[in-house]
Amino acid sequence: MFWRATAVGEPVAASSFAAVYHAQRLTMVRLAAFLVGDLQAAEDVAHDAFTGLHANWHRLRDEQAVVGYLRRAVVNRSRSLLRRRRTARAYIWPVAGEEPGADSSVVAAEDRQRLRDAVAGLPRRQREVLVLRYWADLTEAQIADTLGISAGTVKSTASRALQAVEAAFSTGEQEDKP
Amino acid sequence: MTRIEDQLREMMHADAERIRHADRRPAAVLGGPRTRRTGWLRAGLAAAAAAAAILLVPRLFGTPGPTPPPAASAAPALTVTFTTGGTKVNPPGVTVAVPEPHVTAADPEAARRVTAVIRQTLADTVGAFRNRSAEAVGLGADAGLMSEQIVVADVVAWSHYLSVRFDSSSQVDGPHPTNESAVLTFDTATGARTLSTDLFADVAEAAALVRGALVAKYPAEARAGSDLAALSLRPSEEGSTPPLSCYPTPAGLSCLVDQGSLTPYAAGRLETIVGWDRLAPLLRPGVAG
Repeated sequence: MFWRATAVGEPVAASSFAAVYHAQRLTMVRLAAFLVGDLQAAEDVAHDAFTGLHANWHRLRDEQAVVGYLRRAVVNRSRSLLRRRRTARAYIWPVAGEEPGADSSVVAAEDRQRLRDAVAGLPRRQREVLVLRYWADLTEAQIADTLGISAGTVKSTASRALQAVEAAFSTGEQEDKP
Repeated sequence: MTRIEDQLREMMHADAERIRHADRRPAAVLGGPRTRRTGWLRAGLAAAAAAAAILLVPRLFGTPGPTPPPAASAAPALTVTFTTGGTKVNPPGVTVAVPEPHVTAADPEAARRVTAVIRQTLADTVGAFRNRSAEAVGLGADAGLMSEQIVVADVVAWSHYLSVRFDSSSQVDGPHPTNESAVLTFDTATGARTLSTDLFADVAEAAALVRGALVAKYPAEARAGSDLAALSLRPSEEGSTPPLSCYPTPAGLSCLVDQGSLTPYAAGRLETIVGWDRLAPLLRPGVAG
């Protein structure tokens, strides 16, 4: 726990907002970066989420809900940003491919790049589910809560997303073979 | 866990680790929250919702403006009217009033296209509000105090374009509501969405005229160091939307800046019209015909 525990029902201490901010900021920027595909915009999204949290801090009763709130806020603000993004450009994975070193890592680097391309090509919701599941390591229930959808929808969306990624990944593998 | 799942997890964690504190801007100084929303308009919104029998007929020939348009089409190839949509409740207690579009066009495909874009825009607006409401409810805010009202502020035709402007006022929490506008412009022949940047051959010069008109109309706000001078008709590369919306009307290019987005909330929504006499030389060929 990165800030002190309080009894259920007792408002969270105002001083701990700074602790939450410093502990969670990078995580939320990373999450936003995966969702919007743009590091600078991700910082704005994360900061906006913290601003919203700060505005509601006085009525916060359950500190366990803070991280969940931040995740939902980042997802919602990322969606809002994508919705309002008038430039019709495709999603771009926020982290550039790494420079391969030894021969053994060349293959791994190529595999990861194919995966990035496959995930970047997914519809927004499928990408969200995969990021929350495989990067944030959330349960289906937590993902459902974060995205505001049912657990069943999480399951089916994840299944379709994995199929699509696997298909795109395999296609890339075939194309790369001499 | 399948092989592809393992690879996904490994790739995402590795990439996330490459986004580090050192790469980012310095952490912000923690200040007070934005004060963009209040409850004082709730009664007004409720009254507006009750009176929101929205039935707007396109002003096909527009009102006489100070300068005549370069050309105006007489054929109503596309018409859009609205009736009051149902109130949706989600989360429970939150009220939303949304107009329902009724589109007619010579080409049924064009009508379908326009209807889809309008509905999607409204759905996105409501979805964003619903998400913000759910966040606030999750923190203990009273859903009964939350509402969103979307009204059709303008339906106007010019040349072979028809524009619809929606004004939304959403109340989640905070000292005042968030008032935003969304503008959709369609080609009346095809139903294709048209952006302001599609109208002009010299977009930069057109934007400069718009900024100049805003600064001239709101000198106090311009002097107060607002970002009026940075407004652009072009979409932002960073993904953030310039809060400037423009659409063609018989009087000229009508432009507005969302309340509180650049200037203090008390300054209200900034609006101006740049006459066609100034913009006509910058238009793309065929736009005004």
